[in-house]
Amino acid sequence: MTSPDVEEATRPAASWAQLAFAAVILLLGALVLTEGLGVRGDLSPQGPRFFPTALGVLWLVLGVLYLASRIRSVASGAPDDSTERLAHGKRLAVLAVLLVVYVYVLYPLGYALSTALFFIGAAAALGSTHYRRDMVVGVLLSLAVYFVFSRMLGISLPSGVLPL
Amino acid sequence: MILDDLLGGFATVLTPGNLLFAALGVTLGTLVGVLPGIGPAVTIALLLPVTFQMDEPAGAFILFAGIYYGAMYGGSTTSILLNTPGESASVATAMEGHLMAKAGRARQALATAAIGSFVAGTISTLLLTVVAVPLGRLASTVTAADYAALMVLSLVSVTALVGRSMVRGLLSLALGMTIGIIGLDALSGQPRLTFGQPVLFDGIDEVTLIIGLYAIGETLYVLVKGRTRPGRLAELRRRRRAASPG
Repeated sequence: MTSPDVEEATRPAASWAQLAFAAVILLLGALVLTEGLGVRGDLSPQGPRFFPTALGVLWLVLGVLYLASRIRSVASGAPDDSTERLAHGKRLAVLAVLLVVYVYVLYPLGYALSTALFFIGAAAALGSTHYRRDMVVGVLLSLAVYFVFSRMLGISLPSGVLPL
Repeated sequence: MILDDLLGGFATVLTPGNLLFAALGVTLGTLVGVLPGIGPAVTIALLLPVTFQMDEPAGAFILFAGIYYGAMYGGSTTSILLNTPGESASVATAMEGHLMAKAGRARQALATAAIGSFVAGTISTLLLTVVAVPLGRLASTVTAADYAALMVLSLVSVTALVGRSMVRGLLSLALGMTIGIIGLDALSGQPRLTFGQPVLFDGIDEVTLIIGLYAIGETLYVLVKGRTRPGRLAELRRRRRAASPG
């Protein structure tokens, strides 16, 4: 699925990003391994301890393999096309924070209110400048989804502070 | 014998009233099935009260068959247009259907899914009546060891086929299995990777995982690819390639 879209050709990311990724893998492996060994039970293949421990070892092995391949490619100076250039780092951070906040306010504020606010905020974070339109769509959409799910389908959504 | 029953079934279905029930069921099922996280089984459970008013069991069954197939098809719509399969059954549709949508051929992709759903559904239902008995006999001989072997085969083939890098394929496999073992062990009841949180005892729900991986992942990916400009809609069809895992 390649198109002659040259202006968006991806430049390789800095090699420190790949090293950081390798570090994350190794840390995750250590975490899974310690958690796996902490499970009570025996280490036989039928026991509950075996699989998490094996997975932790697999994580560590893969992390070392990945790290070795990255170091090799950096040392040989070969271009690496496996990572893509990122843009809008600030917008990404705002959106991620909004998602986490949304999770925390969903139950206290209720589905309709928090979703409407999240929609407006996410649209702004994604680059929309039609604030009035976003507000109308956000409020109508969240109310419509709320009523379809809670009234018509009988799936309960948190009602929160609004008298819905 | 089988053929007689099959033709008798068609004779029952092909009355105006029952065909209307089928159309109603497919419409309802598609509408509800489009919603992410609500698959065929949940759709049927949700729409069960609809049949309380019906006096004839055949009509209710026809209605439910329609709902089932409609919900099965409904999942493909979000897969194709948003790269977000609502349930595990339509993950495969997202892979190629969304590529078609990005190439500007969303209409053809949706039509293919609809026609394919109808034709293949009809053929498989017809064939099932013929092979149901031998298939049932075969299914009862499949043991736990066979399931394990099948699982290993699927994991190995997915890892080997997806992406160019074996290490990254194995990494995504390890990530999936790690998420899979969160919760209570099915055999011994020991909590694994729950970090003492009772919320995690049930494990991580498949639907939650799919929405997080595809819907939120796709949103962040579109943002990070740098296509969005303030005050302008991001173009779907000019993106270079899919969010390939691995």
